[in-house]
Formats: sequence, C-alpha cells, structure tokens
Amino acid sequence: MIIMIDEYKEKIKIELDNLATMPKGNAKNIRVYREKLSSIKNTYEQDLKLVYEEIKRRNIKYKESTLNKELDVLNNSIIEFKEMIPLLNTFSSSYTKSGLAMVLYDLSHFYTVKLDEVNTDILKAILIFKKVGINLDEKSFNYSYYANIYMNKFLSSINGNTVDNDKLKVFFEDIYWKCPDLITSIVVNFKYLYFANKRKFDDYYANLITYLHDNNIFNKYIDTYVNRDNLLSRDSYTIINNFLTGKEDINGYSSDKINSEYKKIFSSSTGNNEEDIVKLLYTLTEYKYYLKFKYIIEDIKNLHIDRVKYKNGAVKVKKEITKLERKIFKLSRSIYRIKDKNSKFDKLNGEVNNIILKIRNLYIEYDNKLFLEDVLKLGDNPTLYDMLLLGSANYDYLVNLLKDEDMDIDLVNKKIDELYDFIYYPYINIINNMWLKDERDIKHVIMDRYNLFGFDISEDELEEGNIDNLIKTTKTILVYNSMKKLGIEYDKIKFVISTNDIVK
Amino acid sequence: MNNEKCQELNDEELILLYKELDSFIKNISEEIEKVSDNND
Repeated sequence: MIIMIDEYKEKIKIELDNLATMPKGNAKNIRVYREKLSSIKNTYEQDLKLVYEEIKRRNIKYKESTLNKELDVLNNSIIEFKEMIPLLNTFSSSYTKSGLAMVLYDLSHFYTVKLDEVNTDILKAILIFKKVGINLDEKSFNYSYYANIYMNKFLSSINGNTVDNDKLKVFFEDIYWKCPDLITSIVVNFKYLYFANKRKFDDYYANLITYLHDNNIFNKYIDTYVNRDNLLSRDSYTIINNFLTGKEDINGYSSDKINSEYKKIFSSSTGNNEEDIVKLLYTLTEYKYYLKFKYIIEDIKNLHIDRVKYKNGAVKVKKEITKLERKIFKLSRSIYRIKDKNSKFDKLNGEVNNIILKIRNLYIEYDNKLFLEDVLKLGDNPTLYDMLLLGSANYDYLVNLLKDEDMDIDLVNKKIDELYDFIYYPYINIINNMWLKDERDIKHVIMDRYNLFGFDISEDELEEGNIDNLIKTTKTILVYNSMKKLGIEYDKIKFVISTNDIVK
Repeated sequence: MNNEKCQELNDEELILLYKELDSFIKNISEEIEKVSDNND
C-alpha cells in the first residue's frame, strides 16, 4: 500500500509543477490561478477528510475498553479497611488508637501553627473523648486557672462539630499574655484526662477490636487487596490508560526493549514462570520498603540491648506525676478562693505554671518509659516485622525518629502513612520470617531464592540505589505479559498516541 | 480515494498519508491567502 502514498506524492508534485507554470502576470491570470488553487484544495480536502475519519475510527477502536467498576469498589474498601487495621496492632495503646496521641503532639507544637489550627486540635481532642463516651465539661479543665477560663469559653463556642474561632480569637489573645503557657496547660490537662479515663478508652477499643476479629476484618482486607491486584493485572482499561496518560511509556514495550528487560533478570529465556515473576515483584517491593524503614528496626535493635533495665520504669514516673497533679489541684482550689487578683493570685498561678511544665516533661518521660517497656515485651528474639509493628504503634516515638529538621507535621504524617502501607502490605514474606538475631543478609536470601528458579539477580541490582530499576524491569515484564494475554498490541497503542493530536 | 482504499492502508501508512495531505493543503491555503492579499 505504500504505493498509494508514493502515488499521492507524485500527484502532489505534478499539481505543484502545474501551478508553478501558470501565468500570474495580470488580474485575470491571478483569478484563474486562484480558482485552480481552490479547486485543488477542495479535492484534497475531501481525501483528507476520508483519511481523518479512518484515523478517528481506528483511534477509538484501539483504545476501546471500559473501566471495571469493581475496581473502584475494591479500592474504596481497601481505604476503609486501612482505617481499621492499625487498631489491631497489639503494641498500640488506646492513646494512639484514638488519635489523641497525634492531636496532642500537634497541639504541644502549637508554636508552628495558627490559632485556628490550635482550636481545631482542641476540638478534635474533645470529640475523641466524646467518641469513647466521655463528655468533657468546664470541671474537666481544672489544671490551671487560665486554662479553665479558656476552655469554658471554648466549650460554650462549640456548635456541633465546629467551633467559633472569631469569638475565641480576642479572648485567647487577652489570656495568652497573662499565661503564655496556656496551650501547654491544656495539653497536659488532656493527658491527665486521658489517664484518668484510660479504662473507658481501653474498653472502647477492646470492644472495637473484638468486632474487627469477629468480622474477620484483617483477612477481608488481605483478600480485597489481592483481588484488586489480580483484577488490575488483567484490566485492559487501566493498562491502556496508563500509556495514554503517560504514566507508562509505550516505547519501553517494543520487542527489542522487552527482550533486553528479560535478559536483565533471567539467566535463560526459557521456563520463566509468570507466578515467580509476580512473587519477585512482591519481594522487591517488600525489600524496598524495608530499606526505607530499616532505621526504625535498627533503632529498636539498639534499645533492645538494654531491655532488662526497662522493667517497671514507667510506674515510678507515673507516681511522681500523680503527686504533682494533686499539688496542682490543691493550688488551683486556693486560686479560685482569691476574690481580688492580687500578688498572691499571681504568685500561686506562677507556681502552678512551673509545676505544669514539670508534669509536661514527666509525661514525655512516662510515654518513653512505656515504649521501652514494650521493647522489653518483644522478648529475646522478635521478628523484624514485630519490631516495625512496635515502632509504628507509638506516635511520639515515631515522629521524633522520622522527623528531619525541616520536616513539617504533614510530611511526617505522610511518611507514617507510608510506613503503614508497608506494615499492611499483604505480600510480606521476608521480615516476618527474619529475627533480630538473624545473621542472614536479606539481599542474599532474595538472590538465593530467585536465582534457584532461573532468575539472574545480582547483589548490585539489590543495592538501595538500584532497586527501583529492578522493580521497574519486573513490572514492565508483567505488564507486557498482561498485554499479550489481553490482546493489547504495541503498534496499536503507538498509533493511538500518535493520532491523539489529530483526532482531538 | 474512497473508504475502502483508505481501510486497506495500514496504521503507519494512514498517518503518513494524513501528514502528506495535511501539509499540502496547508501550503495551498497559504498560497490562496497570499494571492488574495496581493490582489487586494
């Protein structure tokens, strides 16, 4: 058919030659010349229209596929499950599970956020208490005189699940100058309230966990995740769309490129089992995550060395906190009895503030000791997975470990989400089978396992800087295999991409 | 040119022919504009 193109080229050449020889010396000649041009234009436009229609027809036909609606359903279920799954972490306390740890961490770093955000966090904390059946009122905030005044105003400004920030703003500014440690007082007061109501929190989450176990939520999550992945691998719409949106580059799927990708991971071109390639992808993904969060395991490993020293460490600190809290409540009662805000009033408030700062530090120490007691609970030789599970269960520990100097809280939370993605990755198979005292190198474990099955994976390819390339190669081969099974042709996708500009 | 002939072309040829015709028509259109401007 290339003859047809040549014929057109020849025809066009003749038209151009004829046009070039036409006289254009006077108005009449020019008119004739213009008429000739218009006639040629009309003729060729009709041909172009035919070609355009054919291109359009093929463009539509080649990319024809419909989104499998079940994928959306599965994706939404996974999001819902992911909200519940961390509740099953046995190392996680009701303080973390309720989200109070995160909110109070945010609040105690209030100097980095705006007043509106401070109020949002306070409201969140109040709603967390409400969720577990505790309605906080003005009597709940009796840590300091000013915290009590602010919280009374705050509670009266709540309307449903919102708070009137404008009303609180002027009030806050007025109090803030009299008590610069106002937010600290409120945070520590919330901590006190949590421990005073710990049993209710624990019971609420214990019931929730029973519900999750009874309904087999974890297994349902795994099944949904695996189903989603299976469906994705045979979903024409997703594969085609990834090429059309540029998420995948079709040029990497030519026969030559695919052959070279195969050579990168296989020692021979025969006997490559699809299932093994899928397993390799899971292993590489797990290993990549492992490298990313290895420092948590290393940190806990170091803490684990002195584990015997951590026994009963928290109780002593808690006793000290309770003693100081009693002192505070006594001083607060005296403050309320003072009618005129004289020098005694200021002196007592100053005393209260100093104690609050001490309690704040003691609560930090207490959290830390509780975490170390959990390290002790890991036993002598925990799996690497258990160590990560423990690390993920304590918000303050995690934030302090993950945080870089310039990192804001949103970035830290993003990193924590990624850690959760890892912990709840359904194909984990290495870190749950390796122990703290394991001498084996994960790289060698992977190489030994896969090279036995005809793969050719080198130590160098498993280095942190190269692992993404190896994952990309594996994914490309799997997508290519799916394309073959689904009848998605390289040339046709190339055609669609090349003609999208024409038919748009 | 007709529909059938068009359908006989493979994908690559179809794009080539489109480009050839499109470019030719653009040149002719430019020439028509030029001639019209001069005549005005």
